[in-house]
Amino acid sequence: MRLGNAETIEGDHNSEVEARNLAAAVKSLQVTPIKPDDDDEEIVEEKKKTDEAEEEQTTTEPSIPKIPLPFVLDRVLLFDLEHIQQLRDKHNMAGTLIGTLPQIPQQNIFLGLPVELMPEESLYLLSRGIGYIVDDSTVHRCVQSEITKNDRAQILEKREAKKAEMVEAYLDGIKRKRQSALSKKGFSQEEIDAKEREAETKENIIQNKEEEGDDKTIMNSNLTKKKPITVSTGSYSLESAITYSTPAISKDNIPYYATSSSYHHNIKNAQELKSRAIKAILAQTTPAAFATYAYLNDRGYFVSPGLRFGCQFLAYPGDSLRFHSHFMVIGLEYEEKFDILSIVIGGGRLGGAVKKGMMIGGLKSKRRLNEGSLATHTELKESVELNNDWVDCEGDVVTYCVEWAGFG
Amino acid sequence: MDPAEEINEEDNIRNVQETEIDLSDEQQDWRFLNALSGSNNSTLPKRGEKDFEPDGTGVQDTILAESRNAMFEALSGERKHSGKNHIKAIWFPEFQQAMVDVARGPHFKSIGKADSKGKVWLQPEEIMYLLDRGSMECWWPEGVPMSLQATYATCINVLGGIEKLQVYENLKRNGYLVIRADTYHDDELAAALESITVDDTIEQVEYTRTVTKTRCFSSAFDLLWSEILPSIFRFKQWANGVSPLTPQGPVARRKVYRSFDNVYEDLQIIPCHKPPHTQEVADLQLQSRPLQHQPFSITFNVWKPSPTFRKATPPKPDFAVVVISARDQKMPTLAQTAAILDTRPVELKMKDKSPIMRLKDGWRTVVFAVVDAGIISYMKIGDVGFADEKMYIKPPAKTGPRKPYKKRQQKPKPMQS
Repeated sequence: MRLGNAETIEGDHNSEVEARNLAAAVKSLQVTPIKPDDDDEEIVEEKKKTDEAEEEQTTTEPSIPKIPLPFVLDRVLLFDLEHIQQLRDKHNMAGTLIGTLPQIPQQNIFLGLPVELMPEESLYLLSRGIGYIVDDSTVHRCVQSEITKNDRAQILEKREAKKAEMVEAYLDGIKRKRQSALSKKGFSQEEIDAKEREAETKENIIQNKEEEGDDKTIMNSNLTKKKPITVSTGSYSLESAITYSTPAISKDNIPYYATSSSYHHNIKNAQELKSRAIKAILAQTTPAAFATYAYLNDRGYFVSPGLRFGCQFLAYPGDSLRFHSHFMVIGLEYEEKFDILSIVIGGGRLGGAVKKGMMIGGLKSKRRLNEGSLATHTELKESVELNNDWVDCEGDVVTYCVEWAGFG
Repeated sequence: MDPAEEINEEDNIRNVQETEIDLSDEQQDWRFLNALSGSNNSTLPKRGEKDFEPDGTGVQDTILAESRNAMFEALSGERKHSGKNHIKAIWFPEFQQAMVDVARGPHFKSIGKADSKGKVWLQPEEIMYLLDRGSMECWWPEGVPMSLQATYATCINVLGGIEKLQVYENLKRNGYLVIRADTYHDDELAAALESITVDDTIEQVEYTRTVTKTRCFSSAFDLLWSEILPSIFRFKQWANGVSPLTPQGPVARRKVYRSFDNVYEDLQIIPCHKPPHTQEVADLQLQSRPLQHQPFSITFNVWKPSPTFRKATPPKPDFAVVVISARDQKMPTLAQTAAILDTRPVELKMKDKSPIMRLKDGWRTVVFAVVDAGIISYMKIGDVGFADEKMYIKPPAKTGPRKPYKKRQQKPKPMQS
């Protein structure tokens, strides 16, 4: 039973989560005693150290449940607006919107869900105990396989009810419009009522006919055959009254996903999948890049990918929605040698032209893993130990700024 | 042509006709569009109107809060379509594709592939695109609609890198027509093979060596160029009193120079790359090349929007895009880039263009789309023959009457990130 294990990983004060896990344990009739969490105090202490600027929140933070980080293919993609908002508000993390904004799909300026996190961002959330990795493909496969006929009927029923509602609202709208049009023309209230009754009987006849023909006309979503309802304001078809929408998160349309936090830990090979995911994330970055990222994030900077300016990161002094970025950042090992040309061309000149400083973060005295905050996360520790480069991946970062002097 | 005009008329805010609007959401939609188009300045983060740094004022906090709210409001917008244009697709895990129930609407002019029974099948990136913009619903095979999250979690495992999806969607949003190239999966194949090969640098050197060797003697045609013609030329030179060029020199080999052309000609002692100017030459070169899986291959073929486009018989693509992940891959090496360019057709119209345009565009081109954590950067790589363009020759004097350079038609909208 993985439950006890999961609990230590979570290191969570949240009674709700505990209750949920307990319930799950009871359900599976294998109650395991929940281990006392030694890690908790460490986490809080760590938080105090790192989040000096956010001191007020330290006290409230433990009550916030950890954010699940859905891992798909080899990236972390966020779909839940609540989580995205939370990261932006509390953790200086914006991520990158990569989807199409459905309202205006034919443009690339304002994008929509999901939010992709940089590997450094995912790693930061893991190492600070803010989030936990979920292998979303596997979770969905599990959820999918457990959909029973009953569930299906329920889901579809809800869907139909929603459709019926939309049709009703639509017809109501037409009715109101008709009435106001008539009253504008100077008809008295009685006359309007009379007309209304007339129209209603008409509608009823049509509706009855439909119901006779097929009780599930709407339900079948076979709306192509439907006859338009003729009303005095013109010709409308009920098809245009119905909209089909796709929810962003699975929680909203699959009942199981709502309780999936227990799922996340209880699926087969959960540990294996998690460490595979973390290894994939580690492979996409370097200890120096991550240390530099963490250094900047801890100091209140919003950090975004730096591809547009040919560097690793862009550092914003606050929310990137409101502020211009100040620095083009490259994270290196302190003793790492690099080409002087890369400063002149890559950073200095371009940075000068776009009014940004070029920042070089040097990872200096590395802390051993067991001292660093990475150690507070059991899963991460395991994965990190598999990969030697990462054994001491956090430490003191010294930053240097290069500016194009422009003499002459 | 504005690519935006081409796609779904329903999406085009200028073309919306009153009868087509679902009355119940008309209001909401317009408010939304107004807010996004910037008429309501206070709520929208517009580019270039940002502040330098947080100054702790309430004004700034309010504006930021409003920006965030506007953004979150926009993000919570529904992915929806009217019942009139309802499209439903069912995901088939066995085929790793989705089948469309009834394919209708302008999207299917360039999206999807019909099988022999006339059913349209969608690749993962096509599913995600249609779903993302709210034009379609995707269902589990169990008969339950999927959420966006579920579709990502289910469909994109076979995509071979999320970067490919991002580039596809980015191009589609810009209005281009995009279809997978035949070599879509080649890079994964190469990556799988690479894990077997011990040292790929040796392989690469080997590769270039064979290329240069085979390039010289692959055919009678090449032999003519590389051996016979120069020997005739040398004979001519000797007859004209030009001493042959030896590794020891001299560079100035004639007794008398009567024109600068001769000077420049003799100064051309450094061998340089000459791109093929005809498809035949290019094919010969390609045939002589050992077949090898390259870590980079053309991912998508891209067309500028055209009303006559047919997905079953597409014309020659306007662009070929190679998707590169900045996190997982290094920039292609010269040999790798050359191998990609070899698979591209020679632009025959190029010979009618001005030398400057030829230098700018190249005889064969490919577009690299570099993706770093969701941010895309497009680069055009051209096979350019700098040695082909003799800049010291004044065009009218030497080449005689020539067609006046036609002013280039309006350039296609440059792709941008």
